[in-house]
Amino acid sequence: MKNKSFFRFSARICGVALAAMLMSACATPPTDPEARKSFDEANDPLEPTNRTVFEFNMAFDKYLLKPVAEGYRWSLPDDTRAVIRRVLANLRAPVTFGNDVLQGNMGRAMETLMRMTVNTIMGMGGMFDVAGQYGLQRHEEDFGQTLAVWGFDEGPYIMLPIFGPSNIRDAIGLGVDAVADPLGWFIGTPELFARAAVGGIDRRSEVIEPLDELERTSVDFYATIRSLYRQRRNDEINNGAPGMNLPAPSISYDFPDDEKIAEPPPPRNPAPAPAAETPAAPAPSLVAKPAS
Amino acid sequence: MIRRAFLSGLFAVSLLAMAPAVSAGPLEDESRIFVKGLADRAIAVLKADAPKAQRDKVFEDILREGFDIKAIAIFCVGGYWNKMTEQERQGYLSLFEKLIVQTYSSRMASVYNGQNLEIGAARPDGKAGSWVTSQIVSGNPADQSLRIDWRVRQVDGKGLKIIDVVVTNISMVVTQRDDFVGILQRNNGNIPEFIGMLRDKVAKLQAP
Repeated sequence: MKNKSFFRFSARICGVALAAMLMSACATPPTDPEARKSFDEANDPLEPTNRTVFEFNMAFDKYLLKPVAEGYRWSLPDDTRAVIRRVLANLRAPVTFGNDVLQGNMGRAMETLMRMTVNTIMGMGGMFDVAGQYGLQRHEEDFGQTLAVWGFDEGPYIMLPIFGPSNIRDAIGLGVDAVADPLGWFIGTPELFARAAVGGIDRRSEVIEPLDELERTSVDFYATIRSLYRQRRNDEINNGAPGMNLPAPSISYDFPDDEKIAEPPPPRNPAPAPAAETPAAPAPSLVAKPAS
Repeated sequence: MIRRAFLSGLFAVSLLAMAPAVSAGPLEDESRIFVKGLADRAIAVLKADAPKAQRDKVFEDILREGFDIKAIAIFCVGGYWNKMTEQERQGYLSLFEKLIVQTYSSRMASVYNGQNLEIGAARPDGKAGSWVTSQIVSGNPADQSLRIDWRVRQVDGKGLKIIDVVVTNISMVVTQRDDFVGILQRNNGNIPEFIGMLRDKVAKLQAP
């Protein structure tokens, strides 16, 4: 298998990250009940280490990724970048197909398979989204989502070097997808790296202004990214079904009209029901966690 | 991942073109009209590409009239609200409103590019509230539309108020709460320091 060394490299990255985490001190859970509650909700016992990695990622972004992404966006016309994006998306289709099947979603698996076939042949290697014009919309699945569908808990939040926000479940998924990607049967490690690099640059180039704005307007950018990551993943796991990821702030405060505030619609994942009598609104647990 | 999440956030208060939709009852219909009215005003000022001060003013008016800003502010500090003195609460509430105006005025102006908002159906959310669904659509059919859900509730004596804006299942209120609680968690619940940080952030964002 040509992608063996790619796997070995990924494994090494994971190993280094894991070692760094184990060596560094975990955050000590606070004793104050309120602080303890938010500590548990953040699900980020490795926060001190994660913040260090985040700093590193921010520096990596500032000095390398963002300038390259800006150059990429500046030098290539929109249409060209759209073609690159579609080719990359088409190359990703086998992984999505595999995960559709593993999640038992045969309808979506068929969609992915048809898209891949039509776009590879009629869309000239995925350069054009012919299937999309016939109403077959693209979706993505990964093994982290598959694990979630199988009932795995997300595990603690982890900030991976370069790869960015993740958690134990999604980091495992990332590794499994990389190893199992059938593309590795056909192309070598340098090409896999090139694909990963172009994909990363392309995705970064799409969010230059939004990320700048998000950073500028956040008080704690790290915590904001953590929140967005979790909500976004939950949306992806539920395949974007409306109302499945609802914030469930039962916005029940010490207000006179407390009784009038409705319970949030039940999320798909059995989140702990927010207690109506809690004075402060309970945080929505976006992914089901075992009762502690 | 950040992209959709974020773009969504940017459009949290946005533009509408009314589309025919099915509704469940009078409260739902009223809520749809209410959301559309607010969004129309935001769109108008974004379309006009008005100067920052004017745009900020419109967003401030929309926020004050259309949102249960106090309820949202309290939600956003989690249990730390109970630990704030009366004076800290007043300071926090005033800064919170300013922060939200600045955040959304600037986010939306930075990404607005002629999109429209189509109001969809509404469904009940308990006895006194409803969810109004909508879609952000651009002129370009190749772009995917973004779903935005508005959580509206009836507040005694004040009429309808929005309490959350949820973009592709990402709640703006939860995201804001996680931002604030992240800070409070990290500084061991030091509320004066937190309010100081908010003040600095607002001052920075208000600068022209």
